[in-house]
Amino acid sequence: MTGAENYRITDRPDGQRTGLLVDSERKIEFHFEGHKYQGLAGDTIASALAANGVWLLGRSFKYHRPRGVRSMAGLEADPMVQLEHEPNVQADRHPISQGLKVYGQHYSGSLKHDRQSFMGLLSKFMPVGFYYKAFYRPQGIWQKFWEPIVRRSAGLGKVNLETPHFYYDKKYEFYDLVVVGAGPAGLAAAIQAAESGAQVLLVEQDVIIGGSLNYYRFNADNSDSEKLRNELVEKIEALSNITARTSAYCNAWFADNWLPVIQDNRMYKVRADEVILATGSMEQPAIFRNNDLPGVMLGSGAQRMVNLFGVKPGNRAVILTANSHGYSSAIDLLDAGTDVAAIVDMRHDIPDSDLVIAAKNKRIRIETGSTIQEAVAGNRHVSGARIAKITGQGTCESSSSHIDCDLICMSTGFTPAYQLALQAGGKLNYDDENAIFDITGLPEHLHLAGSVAGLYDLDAVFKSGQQAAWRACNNLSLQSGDEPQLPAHTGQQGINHPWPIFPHEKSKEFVDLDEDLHYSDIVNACADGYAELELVKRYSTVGMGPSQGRHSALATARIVSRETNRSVSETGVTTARPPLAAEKLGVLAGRSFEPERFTAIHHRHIEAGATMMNVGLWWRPAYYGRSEEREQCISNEAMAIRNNVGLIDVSTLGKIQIRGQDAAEFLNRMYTFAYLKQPTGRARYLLMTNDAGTIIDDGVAVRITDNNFYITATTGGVDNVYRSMLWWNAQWRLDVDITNVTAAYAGVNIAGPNSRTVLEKLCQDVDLSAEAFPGNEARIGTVAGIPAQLIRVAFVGELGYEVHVPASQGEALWDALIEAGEEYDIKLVGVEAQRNLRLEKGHIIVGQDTDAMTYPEECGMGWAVKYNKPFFVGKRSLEIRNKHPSRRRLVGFEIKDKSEEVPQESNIVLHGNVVTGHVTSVARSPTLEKIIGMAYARTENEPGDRITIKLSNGQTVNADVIEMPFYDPENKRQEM
Amino acid sequence: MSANPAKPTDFACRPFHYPALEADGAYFESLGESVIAASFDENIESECKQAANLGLADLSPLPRTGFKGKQAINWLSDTGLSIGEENNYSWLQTDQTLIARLADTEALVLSDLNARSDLCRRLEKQNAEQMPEQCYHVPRQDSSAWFIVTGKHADIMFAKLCAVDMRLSRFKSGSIAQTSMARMNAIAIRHDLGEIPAFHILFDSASADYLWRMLKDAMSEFSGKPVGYNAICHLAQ
Repeated sequence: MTGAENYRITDRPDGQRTGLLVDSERKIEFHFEGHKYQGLAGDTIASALAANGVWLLGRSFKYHRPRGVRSMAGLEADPMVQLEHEPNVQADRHPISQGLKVYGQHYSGSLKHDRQSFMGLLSKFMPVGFYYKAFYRPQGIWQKFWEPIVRRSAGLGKVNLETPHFYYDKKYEFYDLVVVGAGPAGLAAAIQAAESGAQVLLVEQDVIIGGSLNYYRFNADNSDSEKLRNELVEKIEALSNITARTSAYCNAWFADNWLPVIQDNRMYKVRADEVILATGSMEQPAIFRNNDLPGVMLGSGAQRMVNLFGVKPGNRAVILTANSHGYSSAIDLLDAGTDVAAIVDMRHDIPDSDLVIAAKNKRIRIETGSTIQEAVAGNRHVSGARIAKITGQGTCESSSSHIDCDLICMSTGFTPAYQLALQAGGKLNYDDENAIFDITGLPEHLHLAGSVAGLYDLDAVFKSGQQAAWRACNNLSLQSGDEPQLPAHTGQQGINHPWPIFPHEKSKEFVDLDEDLHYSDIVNACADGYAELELVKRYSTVGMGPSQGRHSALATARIVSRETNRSVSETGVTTARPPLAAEKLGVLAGRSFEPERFTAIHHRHIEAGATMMNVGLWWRPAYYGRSEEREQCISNEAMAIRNNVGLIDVSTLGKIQIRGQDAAEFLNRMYTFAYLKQPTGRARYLLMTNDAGTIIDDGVAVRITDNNFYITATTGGVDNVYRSMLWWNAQWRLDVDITNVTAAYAGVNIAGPNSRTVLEKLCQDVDLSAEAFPGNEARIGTVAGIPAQLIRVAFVGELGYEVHVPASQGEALWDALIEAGEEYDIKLVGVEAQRNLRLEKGHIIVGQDTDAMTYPEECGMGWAVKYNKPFFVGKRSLEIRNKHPSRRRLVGFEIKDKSEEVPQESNIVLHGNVVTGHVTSVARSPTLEKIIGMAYARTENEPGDRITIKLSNGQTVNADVIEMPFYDPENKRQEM
Repeated sequence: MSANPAKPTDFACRPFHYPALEADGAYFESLGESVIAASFDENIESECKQAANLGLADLSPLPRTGFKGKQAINWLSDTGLSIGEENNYSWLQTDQTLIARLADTEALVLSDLNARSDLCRRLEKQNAEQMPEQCYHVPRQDSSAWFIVTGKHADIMFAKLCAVDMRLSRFKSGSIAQTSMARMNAIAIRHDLGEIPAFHILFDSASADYLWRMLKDAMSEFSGKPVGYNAICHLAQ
């Protein structure tokens, strides 16, 4: 078989069209392995290559054996190919497009001449689980020697890190009924339900609806399927309440009929009242030597190749069968121009059927009671089949006859496509005597139809679809007429051969092609003591490859059952978990919804050249200037507040209104300080601990009236604070209303010695003098004509006012303050400078200077806790914790030597070799002209002691413990 | 081009994300003490057509308010407003304002689209003066931005952003969904503009820029675009 031959079917003796999916008028050029090929619109990569006589698509995982296509349904790993921007693409499902560049995967050198193909010769040295036994001695050799080798050898395609971003998204949908699978059962179900009035979603993984009606020959003259398909498709198209999604996967079943349906780059999150699984069945390969060669296909795969794509899968075929499907394939192949050398039927007695009679009439050689003992390897392709008489279960005569062929088709049985049903809690049962499957134990509102329910006769399949739809509609109160009944003949009997497994003395009879596992590997896994299927799976890796056991689960269960003297039904199958098929991370991620919050003044920051930083969802100006000028910008901004006047956007502060007659009592319970007697017009510090006494937030409470508090919380903590408040009051039932008004108000902090002078230009209805409006007080008035709340706060340790105004007027306030401050050279100040200024004042930032264990006494906040209150959240825990002395406390430190490297936050503090804490805040203070910081150190550390800080570069630096605050300890500056 | 052009920065009260509106080509007109994106297209008929297909408009400058507390619904009813017993439903008042009952303890008041009614201002004043027990003002004018999404594709567009079933056949006019939209808390209220499906969206005002971008992106699949306030008013007549 060479690449020069043309396998495209140009005409068929039966006069039927060739290739339902391809358009023979539209040629498409693409590349495979650097060679240019021509295909037709509608071709998949695999069908187009097959039409050009290219059957070798990739190399196997372990032994680098040549592999091709087998199911033409995307069920196996072998046809996975590499595209420029995507690895592991199913060549039998991915359409070709003009100029598409395709490569084989997992080879060394060239696809045809893989340098690692010698690995197959070493197979006897690599029995199942050999790595468990070989790679661990001597100690340490795994990491140093074996792992690099295994990592180089493992994997299939390669991720292209230069791949551009593609657009993915998700969409929610709701239906009365979802039918998964648009074969005859699914179509019948969808039509029946839609005609009863249901809104129906029909999900089909193929590019067109029809399922087996599109490619399978149900009878000799092929009249049944084509006629039925045309009728059904016409009805589906006419019913406006059916949405048909093709090339779409229902990739899982989740509780309450929640279905992720993936089509192209979109995931539909579908909710359905009722679901019908008409997922069909998967043809199973027979197990014989060299059953993995290119040219060995499933019968259904060959029929897909012929009928969907108009490509003959070989010139001379041998059909291995145990049911009527093999005869169906044989007739299709004959019609396509393939010489059928023989039908090798594993059965001794072949029941007469329309298809069998037709095959006999066409004088096809039929060998009964026989099997293929071995596929003979040619030039990276099958070149013949050795046929032998079956002598017992899994045994055949040693003498065999040879038949030349370049195609072997296997039709020896099916398993239901059970994955979704089992995900829903269904149980797969197997009748060992008749080799029949059925699924029981499905939840309510989930129904089966067609061959997934074990029905293979077309009439039975069709009726089962109608019956499932009737039952679904009944649940939806939509049914009409009597419940359809199944015919007596279901086609179930004789569909599966009970033992199509023939081990060979030279091995290479593959059970799992993904993982290159032979028959003996499964047997040896059992011999090694792994009797349970789940353990065999993990030990041998059977079923763990990309095809997830679709073609190996049944054979494995059969072999394990025999090796452990149990029935297949007792052995069971491994757990079916989502996803059903591979799904891209992009699909899971969808559109990247990453909410962002902008303050009312955001665009002014951008205009002023701020470098922005995100704090939670908010964007805040870190500093105003370019990153290369960072230190200087921060220093200048800090000095402006110390010496002149600066403006900080504090809109992101959390803001909560607490109103009602129990408002004060509520705050008294939520926070550690005392609020019952807080006078109106006063602002008071807030410190919140959780149940365990750990500090979780802080802020300021302004008492506006007796029953009305306006409080602030940290930017990152307010949502948690608000939730916590609602949670506690759901228990306390205090008469209080809690409203999160964070977004409703913009806030600016105008601070510095000249702040009052600037503010006075815009605020005439509030006396801003130190006497009339001292620290920790609040007033209501107007600033630049904008209704405002003014609070004297001193976070940065200078005279300052927080001005809170309605968010829609925040930018106007900012503009007015800048204009008013122009004559004083007012400066915009970012978060970084603000943090340094508060550090100079020794103010903690919750979450930075505290951690998940910090309680008030540890960080010098004991003054903010009123233990004489009857209750506050965390009080009991704090009383207990205070009885157990802490081993650390937050101390201030300085490093006077300016040349020292500035430690970083989280650098550890050492006492000898013992870690006693870490640095929480640190900066080079422009005001104090030295390095200052806070760190957790031993409780014994007092001002005057030295602590050792280990820098990020591994060196250590000594720092002196000093009292905090570092700046203006008497608070004279802020009380100006 | 607008008949009465105005600049957002000429007013103290500015639309939350006016720079984004400007970037989209909005023409602003004054509305009360603020400005509103009146149009994006010189031709109102084509904007109306756009809105009938799929349109997005910023109504944030229009008046709105809210009240919550155990007595909030009673107090509002006592002022003469018509509010039913059903939560998550809205009622149009005689002056065309819309009362949305969010819970047993909370209601939202949206101005008529022409902003002729002074109900919001009146209620806020009355509440501040009376200080009724267990009925508290919620500053919706500044805490919540207000968009309107209109057109025949609106419901399927929302399916890209929101898990609630907002199909027109299921989510009837008057219905309210308090839900997550593009990972943000939002209130969606359906109130059609005549024959044209319309959804009012109220959400965190600090995220106006974000949700505007997310909506435009989701709408592009259905040829949806921003439309001006004038087209919305035209369709509401």
